[in-house]
Amino acid sequence: MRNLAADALPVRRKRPLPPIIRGLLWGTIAFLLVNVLVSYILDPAYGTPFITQPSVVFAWLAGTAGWLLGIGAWENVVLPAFGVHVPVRQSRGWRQYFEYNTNHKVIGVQYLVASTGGFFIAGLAAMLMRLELMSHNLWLFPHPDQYLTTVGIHGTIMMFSVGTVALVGGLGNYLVPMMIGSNHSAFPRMSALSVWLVPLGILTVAFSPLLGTWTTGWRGYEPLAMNDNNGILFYYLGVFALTLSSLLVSLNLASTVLFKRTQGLTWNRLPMFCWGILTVSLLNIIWLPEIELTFVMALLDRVVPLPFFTAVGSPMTYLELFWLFGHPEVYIVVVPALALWMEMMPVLARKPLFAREWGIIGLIFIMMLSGFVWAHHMFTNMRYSEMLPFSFFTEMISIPTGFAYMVVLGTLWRSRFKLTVPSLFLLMSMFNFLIGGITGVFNADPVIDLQLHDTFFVVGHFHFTIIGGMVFTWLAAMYYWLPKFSGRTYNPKMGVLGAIWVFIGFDGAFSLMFLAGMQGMNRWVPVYPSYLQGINLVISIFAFILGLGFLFNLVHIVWAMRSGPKAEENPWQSKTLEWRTSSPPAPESFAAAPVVTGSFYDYDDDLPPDPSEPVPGGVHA
Amino acid sequence: MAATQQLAASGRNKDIDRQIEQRKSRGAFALFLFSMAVPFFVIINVRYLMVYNYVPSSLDQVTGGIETGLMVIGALAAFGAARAARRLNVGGYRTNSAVSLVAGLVATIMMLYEMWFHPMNSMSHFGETFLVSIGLAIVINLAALLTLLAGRMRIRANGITHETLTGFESPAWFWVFATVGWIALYIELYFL
Repeated sequence: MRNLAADALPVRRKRPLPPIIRGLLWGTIAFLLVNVLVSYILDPAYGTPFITQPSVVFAWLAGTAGWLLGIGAWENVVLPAFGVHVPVRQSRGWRQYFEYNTNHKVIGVQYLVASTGGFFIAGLAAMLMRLELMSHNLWLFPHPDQYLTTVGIHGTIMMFSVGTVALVGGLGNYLVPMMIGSNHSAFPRMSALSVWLVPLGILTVAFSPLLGTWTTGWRGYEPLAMNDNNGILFYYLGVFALTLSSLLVSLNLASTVLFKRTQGLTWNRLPMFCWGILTVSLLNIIWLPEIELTFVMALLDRVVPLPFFTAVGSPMTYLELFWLFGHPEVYIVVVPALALWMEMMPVLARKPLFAREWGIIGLIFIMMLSGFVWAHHMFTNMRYSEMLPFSFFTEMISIPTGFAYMVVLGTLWRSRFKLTVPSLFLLMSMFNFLIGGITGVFNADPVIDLQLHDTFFVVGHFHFTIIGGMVFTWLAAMYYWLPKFSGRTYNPKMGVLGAIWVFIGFDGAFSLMFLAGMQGMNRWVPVYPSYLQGINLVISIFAFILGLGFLFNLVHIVWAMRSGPKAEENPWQSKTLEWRTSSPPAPESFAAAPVVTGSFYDYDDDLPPDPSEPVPGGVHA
Repeated sequence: MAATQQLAASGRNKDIDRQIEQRKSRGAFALFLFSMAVPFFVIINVRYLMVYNYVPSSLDQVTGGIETGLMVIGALAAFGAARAARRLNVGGYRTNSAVSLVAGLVATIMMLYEMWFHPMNSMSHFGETFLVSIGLAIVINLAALLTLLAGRMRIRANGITHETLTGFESPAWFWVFATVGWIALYIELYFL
């Protein structure tokens, strides 16, 4: 047996290139090499044009491989997998966030930063859209396709790099292992690699106009995309990278919750956020491979070409396949938010979680029913008889969603609730999600949906659901766990100002969209009847206020992490395990594996948690 | 005497802990395979949506049958490789995985041939579903072959311990999964 490890290179004191630079370099070289190979050698047209549909697809795949290998997969994953060990020096301090790192807390921060970057890139696209819609004429974009491409970039990046990623990849990676008393996630190398697909996916989508405009929105509709320029290729590839990242994270986190729980952490005691992550991970594990295969088929339709989704094939199949994933996607975004409500509310209200079992049942039934409602997005293409079951299940899914809502309301009832910045964001999230939910009931009714389909009413509805439900909860969670992330806390006045600022901007902009929709304002159009210009102008002004509000909160959170007042170790007196670690936590969160002896949600006694006492809700190490 | 008993008990506990850890790893891997099965379900359903049970007369069931036979031989050897891994048998693992690799590689090359020289119109309903289905099988096969090769090289370089056992078992089970997926596609595409 020859020991390949003995042939390994010695530890390098200093890397020749920072991993990100090396990743960019390797990715660029691989992209150019493969593009040249395909377009000059394999293509009968010999390099005219230099970038063709097949060449850019193969080049992107090679570039992605080069990027991942350069960032650290080469010496940390590929070589060890083949039995060659290259000792790698792990950076400390800020540098560890810019390289391959298997610490789940570092990965969580990397996901949060990437997701925040995507949020502001997509937000910028939204501001451009609102700028255009301030006038009923085409004035900002020279051509309608450019407006539609901006809409597509906004929706795609928001859904696949923020909605799907921030709470699962970000908070999930950071918090879940600590919440279950483990120092590691189940597959740390998988998440260490998957996080680097997020910036790649975001940039691929953001730079898609380099290949031409695309008009399909975040859904990449075929056969509509057949009429588009080649920008749609970067949509499919970028979304493939983003969904692959989420799939790998979900496999890791589901395995972590299922198999890495500490002693005594039974299913009855599992924190609600972990329940949320488990259910959403199962949703991801089922539906993300489905949509990835659909995107591959759409890509082949265009590049080979094949006629899957054309008149020769089956034009409706893409829509069916997309929405089979597309509606569970909404719950992929919202379920972790509902779980976070149930996680934070008992702590902030100092009261045991009300009807905990019903909250869990709610999460599980949302997961199950979300696969039965997809066709309500296609009522306009269906027979009346086919609408009924989908309308029924769509109405039904509001019941388990209501369970989660009622659990939080029950916890709030006659509690010792204190108005803090996280609790304020939490209440705002509940309020906004309620509006999104109620308007969703209208949309589930075919009679109303056929009238409102593709109007701004629908835009208002899903923004109240997604931003109201998820983004406000994300902000609540960021303020709540800020002391854990950084050992520092926020400025209460600035925090309240930030909350009120985004609430006014958000509710102003999106509640007016309901009215605009009912007055006939269509989606997907940069030019509209002049009588709608007034309401669009006001919506745009509120949207700019909202955009600045998000920026204000970002600046405040970053400032608080760096220079905010020092926080106590457990400022909320929470009983969950992540608060039993130091703030910020050490690389190994727990010196010894904790043993759980009771529920985490008993706040009747109002006693601070004592790590040395195996009291109910307590732990001992 | 008491100390010896204690030592034996602690050794037993270690064994149990190790088995629990191995079961957890296998459970996590099963979750991964479940996820990988989804594209097969999708493609089979899409095929029925597009062409129902049409099978073109020009399709060569014998070539598909030979591929299936080779995949099954590879899967049987992969069973052997997984068993050898559980017994920490380096030689057995290498021999069995070599058989899987050779049989799998030949089967995959034959699939590539079939895809390239498809005997039906690729612009037809059936043609496109055939190409994408066989393409999916090829991609999964290549991934499985790569992980088998990596496992084979790794076991040669580093040997195998109880702690690293599942890292060698998993590629073998992945090949078995690829075979099951292919058999489903073969029956569906060539016969049903």
